[in-house]
Amino acid sequence: MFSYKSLSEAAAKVYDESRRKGGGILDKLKEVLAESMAGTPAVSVFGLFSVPQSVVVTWILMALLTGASLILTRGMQRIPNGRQTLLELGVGTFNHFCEENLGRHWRVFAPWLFTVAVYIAAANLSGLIGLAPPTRDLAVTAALALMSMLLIYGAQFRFRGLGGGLKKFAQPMPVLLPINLMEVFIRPLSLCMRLFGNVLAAYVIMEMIKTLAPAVVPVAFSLYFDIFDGLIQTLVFVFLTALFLGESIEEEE
Amino acid sequence: MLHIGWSGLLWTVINLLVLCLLLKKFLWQPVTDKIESRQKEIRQNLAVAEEQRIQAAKVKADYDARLAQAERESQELLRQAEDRGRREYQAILASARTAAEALAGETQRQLEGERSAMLAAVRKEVAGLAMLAASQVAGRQLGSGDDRALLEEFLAEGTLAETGGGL
Amino acid sequence: MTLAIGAALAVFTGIGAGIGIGIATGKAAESIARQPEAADKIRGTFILGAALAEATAIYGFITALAIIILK
Repeated sequence: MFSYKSLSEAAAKVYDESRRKGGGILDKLKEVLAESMAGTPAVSVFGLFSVPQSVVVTWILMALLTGASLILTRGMQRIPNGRQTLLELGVGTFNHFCEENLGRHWRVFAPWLFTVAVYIAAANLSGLIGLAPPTRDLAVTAALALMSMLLIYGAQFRFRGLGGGLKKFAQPMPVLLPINLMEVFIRPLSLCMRLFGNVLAAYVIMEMIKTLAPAVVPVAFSLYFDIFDGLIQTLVFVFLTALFLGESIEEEE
Repeated sequence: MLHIGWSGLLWTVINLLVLCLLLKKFLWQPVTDKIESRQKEIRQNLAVAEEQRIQAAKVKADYDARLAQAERESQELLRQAEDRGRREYQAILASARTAAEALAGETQRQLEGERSAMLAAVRKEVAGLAMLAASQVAGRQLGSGDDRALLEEFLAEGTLAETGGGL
Repeated sequence: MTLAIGAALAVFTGIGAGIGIGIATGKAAESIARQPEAADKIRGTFILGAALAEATAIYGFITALAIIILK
């Protein structure tokens, strides 16, 4: 096993090397992988401080998403037109999904899950408009998973109280206590690595295909790897988070 | 280089929290409110419609009952009017019949009176004629009252015996 | 050379993922055929299971890349 720290350091070393050398596809992949694992290159903000590239892309996405929300929700009426119908269908379906998985407290968690869904989808699709997907940065997916886990276990203690929250780890039977405790770390790790790995793998495979067949072929694969896979991973992340969340706050019979 | 990973993580956490607030304020909340207000409105409308339906059914039942009542009343009125008409008809008919009978009786009596008067006149005439003929035959004047009375009596007997009270 | 063998071994995780997703798909198809009215629920569960199974392949892939590139 490798630790995040040593991996990051090794990646950073390789990244620096590959930056210096430049060159073929393997070097480029090395660069991408190193970037992804050690954090994307720092970008200076107005010369004041520097942040990773993925954070800058996230800011762009935040601006776009907020702008899009303002435009989409402008002039909503009692009787919806086409745009509003689609919007309401999307949000309504999402709320229904939350209600189904989270029970009667869904309203508290829906905004966060909604944000995660919209952000991951936007991040995974941002490659289409020429941005480097922030979800290709391990730091971003780690942050997403970490927040989700804080939410899940926070909710577990918030809704069950301290005793109830602790007792939940010994359910459905006390023998499972070690496994449940291990899950606290395994769940965010698997959420984080799954998303990161999928996006990175899709990117690596797309780069390979582009090197092999630069013309029309990548379009078809891009449909799968960039759009379908990106959306499926969004679904999986939100689905799993909602599932864990629903499990941790589900009421005693 | 490690701090870039952690700073990226920290920044992402902040970004996500800010994005959560933004999206909640500008996208999720308005749309959810819209959907829920519409659902509420629909529920209310349905409740109102149900109430109105019940109300309408009640009004219709009421109306039907009143209509039936009016029907019965009109039937009753019609029957009464018919009754009265029939009674009046009978009364008129009866009075007309009595009047007609009275008239007929009157006429008959008159006719009989006239007839008996005529018979009496005829008898008187015949008695005159007979006396005249007898005086002519006897060669003497039968002018006295005795004779005349005698003749009239005779004639009256003869006539009564002849007709037998036929008139 | 050893690194390449290690990477190749790591990528063998794809076999497990392939078998797992294959079984999941087959069972999902069977279930939908048996109960078409529950297709939506089955689809959701299937996608979740497939994603979980696929994650192992992804872990292997990343491990292989890490072995080769971050030597």
